[in-house]
Amino acid sequence: MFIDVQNIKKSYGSGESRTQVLRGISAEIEEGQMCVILGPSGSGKSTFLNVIGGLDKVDEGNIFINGLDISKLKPKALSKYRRDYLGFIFQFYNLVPNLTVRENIQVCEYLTSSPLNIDELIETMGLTEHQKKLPSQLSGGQQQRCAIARALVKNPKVLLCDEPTGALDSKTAKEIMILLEEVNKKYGTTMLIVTHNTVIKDMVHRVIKIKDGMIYKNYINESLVPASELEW
Amino acid sequence: MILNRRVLRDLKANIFRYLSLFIMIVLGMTIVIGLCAAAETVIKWTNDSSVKNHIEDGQFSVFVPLADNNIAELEDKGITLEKNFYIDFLAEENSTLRVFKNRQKINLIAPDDGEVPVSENEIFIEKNYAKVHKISVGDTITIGKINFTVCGIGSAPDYENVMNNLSDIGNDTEKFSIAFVSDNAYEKLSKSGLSKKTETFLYSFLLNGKMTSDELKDYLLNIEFDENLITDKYLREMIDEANAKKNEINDGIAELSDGGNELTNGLSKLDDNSDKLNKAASSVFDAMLMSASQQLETTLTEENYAKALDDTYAQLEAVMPEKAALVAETKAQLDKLSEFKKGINSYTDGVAKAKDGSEKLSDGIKELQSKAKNLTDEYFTVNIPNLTSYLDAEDNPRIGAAADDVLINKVCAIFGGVVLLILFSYVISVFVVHNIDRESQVIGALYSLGYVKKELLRHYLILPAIITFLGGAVGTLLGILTTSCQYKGSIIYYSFPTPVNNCPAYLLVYGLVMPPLVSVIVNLLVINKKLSQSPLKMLRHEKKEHRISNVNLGKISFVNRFRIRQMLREIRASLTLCGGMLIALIFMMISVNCYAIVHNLSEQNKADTKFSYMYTLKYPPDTAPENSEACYAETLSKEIYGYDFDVTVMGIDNDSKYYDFDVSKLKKNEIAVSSSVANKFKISNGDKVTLSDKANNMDYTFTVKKIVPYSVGLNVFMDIDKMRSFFEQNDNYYNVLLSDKKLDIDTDRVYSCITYDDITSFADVIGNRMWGLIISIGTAAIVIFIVVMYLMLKMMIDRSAFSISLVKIFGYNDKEINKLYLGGSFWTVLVSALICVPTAKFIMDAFYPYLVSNVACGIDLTIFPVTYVLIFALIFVSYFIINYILTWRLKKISETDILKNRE
Repeated sequence: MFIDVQNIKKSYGSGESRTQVLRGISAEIEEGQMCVILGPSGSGKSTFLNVIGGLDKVDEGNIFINGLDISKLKPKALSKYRRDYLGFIFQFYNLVPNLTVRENIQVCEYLTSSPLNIDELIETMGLTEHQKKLPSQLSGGQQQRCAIARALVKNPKVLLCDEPTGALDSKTAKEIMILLEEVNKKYGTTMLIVTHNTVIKDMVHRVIKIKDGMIYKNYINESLVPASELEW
Repeated sequence: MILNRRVLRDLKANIFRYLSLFIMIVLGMTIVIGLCAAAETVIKWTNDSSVKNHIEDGQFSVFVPLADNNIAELEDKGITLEKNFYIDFLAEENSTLRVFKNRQKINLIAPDDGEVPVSENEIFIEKNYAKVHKISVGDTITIGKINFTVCGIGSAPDYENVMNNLSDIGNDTEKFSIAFVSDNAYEKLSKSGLSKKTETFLYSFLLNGKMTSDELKDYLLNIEFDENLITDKYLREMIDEANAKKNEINDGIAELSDGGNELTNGLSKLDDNSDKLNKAASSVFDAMLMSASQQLETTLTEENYAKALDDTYAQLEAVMPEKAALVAETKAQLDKLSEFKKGINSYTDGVAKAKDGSEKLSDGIKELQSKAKNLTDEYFTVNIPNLTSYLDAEDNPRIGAAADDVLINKVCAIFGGVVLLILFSYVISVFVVHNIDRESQVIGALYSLGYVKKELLRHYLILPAIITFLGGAVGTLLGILTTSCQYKGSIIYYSFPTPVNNCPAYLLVYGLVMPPLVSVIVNLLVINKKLSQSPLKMLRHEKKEHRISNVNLGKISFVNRFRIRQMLREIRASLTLCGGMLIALIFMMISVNCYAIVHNLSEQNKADTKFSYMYTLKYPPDTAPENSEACYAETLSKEIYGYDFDVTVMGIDNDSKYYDFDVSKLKKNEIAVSSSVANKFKISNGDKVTLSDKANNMDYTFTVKKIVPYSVGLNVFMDIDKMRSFFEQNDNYYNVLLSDKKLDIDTDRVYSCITYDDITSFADVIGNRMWGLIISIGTAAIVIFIVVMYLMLKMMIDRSAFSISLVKIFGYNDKEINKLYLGGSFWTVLVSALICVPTAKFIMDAFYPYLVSNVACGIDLTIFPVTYVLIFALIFVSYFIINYILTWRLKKISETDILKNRE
């Protein structure tokens, strides 16, 4: 398995205020799959994404990414892991405010020795005419496209998306999901998408539902629906 | 790294902020580099020109010029010696010129314009004096009623600080300077009788590595002066008087001895004829006896004649009365002759005894004569040590003074430069931290994407490094270009050849490397922690809440609570504001203390100087002139901060008209220390103080019994009688006269004459010199303070922009918002001022004595309370102006713009 999560547990706080966020989660995701992680607020889905992204440490369990056990890595090695393997997309884009669209993408181009072609990527994202604009001059959807391009430029093995459509209207959200689907098809990037929007489950290969820190459903989607046909 | 393109954009977006910091750095580095380059120029140039002009290794003065054989002996040992005799004359506008012969071997004069004097009517004038009195080459000046043509203007290395007396606080070339003439001209002047005081017999020497200074001093101390070389009429008089007394006694004893010898000779002769006399007397008696024997037809002897004749008389008295009478007469004659003979015997015995006695008398007189000679040699010889002063060049305040002065400036500038850079770098770091806080989520995203801390650290350090490097570079360039302005003060005050600018390589390194290096280090230390947060915390924008932010405020009003919390949230900026205020105030206190020292010196000197004239005498008259007060002064020395200062021990009467304190209860080795000495050397009551007589290699230790308010020069006081006893002088000895009016004293008796004007004007001279420094440092301090305060307060507003727009949306009006967000800053400034003003004064008071360590005066740094009021007023006027500007800024914050860029 490309991503193999084995009985991971994670808690926050201590004593009486200790909160068990992940209570022993195990999952396997194949390379190239789009996987959605669904769950209500506070279910632990973002925490699950963070530990896979090496942003947080588990208390117990193992996480293997392409055979690499990231749960044992030290911070420096984790930085290298993120640099070599991961792309991140956030709900509020987190673009560098005084760099242009093109420059924001180049920020991540710098991190790899074999980046994707920026011009092609910009074109794929539909940002050709906006590439010299600053984020403050873009709409939410355009900013998120820029963020996606930034994450993709280093050709990551895994793309982690934390509520990528959370700050967008439904039309724009659909456009973003269509884009992610395209990327998945074009580049074969394994994607983990955290969202509370259940509509997305129909377009992905695997659905993982989390509640109270445990997976209560984990299944392969036998009948994929293209993103363009989803009802938002 | 593409991220670095942000640097210039960030700079443009905050151009005013970074420009003001850039300008501050430029100004700071201009002053620092300028001061350092000026110092290096002066130090190198004065050292080089001193070497080139054969600066002395030392000098000494004597009562009587050295004999040729002494000079030859020293030169044989490898010492270079040159006469540096001088006489003081009244010159232009009531000033004094010290006239020397032109030098040939040591302390060569260096013309800036013209040439050295050669002919009899030429004179070379010291440059600062020439400038003040508007004298040029070719002008004519009159000294000692002789007209001289100015042939050259320049300087002499042994009078770099053109001080009249070594104990002076400083120089005033308007009133005193030096001049050089040819040998013939000097001889003419010395014979003119118009000098202000007696000629000083000074020698300069170069050791050439052949002797140590101590060896030379020992040699000089053991030289007895040749009385035949005395030209000083008073010394000649003193020695002649002593010799006359000695001769009188010795002559008297010699006469006595001659008399004794004559007596002995006379008595010997009498004694030689005693036998004859005795024999003659016996003959006469015997003849008479024989005649009587023949007449009486009996044998008469000296023993029986009286009885025999008495018997014969008794027999003849009744029968032959005429014969009896004859017998009686004969007996009477024989009696008389017998008496005569006995008398002659007694006389001749007496003569013999007298002769013996006179021989003994003669022997006794010879012994008396021999002992009397030793005694008169001991008590009637003028035992004056010929060496009156001895000074190594390194202890001479006239030599190397400019370099010493600027060295202090240099050290302070280098240190001050680093402190300023730390301040500015810290201010920049506060902005960088603010940016990091603002961009926390973006940074978190970058970490998530694979960026490491090192890369972001490098990115955030670029702008501070660029600003400080550029500021340092421009400041260095301007500093180098303005070097001559910085050492102008030295040129005006000290006398040395006009220098060529010198900027050693280390200053370029200091100016170009130090600012970015300090900036990188300071920013690294500050932002490293910020960037060390985990990516997740950065993404979540988790701020570390300091306990201080959550302090329980109890039951206070909402507005006050809000203001306090706002202040606590901005604690970093508040502390930066406080730190900036402290540093600015420390610099301001340099100005304040400069003003204090000048003002206090001026006022106190005027108040403490009660005499109009102080004469220091070389040959005091037997009695002090009328309307003058006699005192006794000894000049000793004491060291502090590596400088030797002359300290005058002054013996005064208890009822002195000119000193307000009582010294009568002081014992023999107890002193009253003046406030200036106590301040300068940090002496307290009860301390033991050692003062040195360097010329005679003696140290004297005194106990400080009291500290008296007296600011003039560096003086300690003793009771004059106890002082005379302490220094083994006669009961009536004195060598200083104080008076309200000018005294009619032969100038040949006088070492120096200081007037009330001389003393009180020194403080003004120092003040004039310091005003430029006072104003420039004070202004720089104010600018630093205002800029730092503005930047910090503005940043506090910028950081609160989101919440300000929120409260605007809630309905708060401008006045209320002002109260909430700016009102607290008043208390920040007030508390900072209350802490920083006294702290800055305390720090600078501790450090300031080092800044003026080469100045021979007490350091009274007391300032009027109104000065503190003025400082506070300055702080708050600045604050209110900034507050007004920031109120306008508050109004500009728009609700919609901020809400768009939500936190």
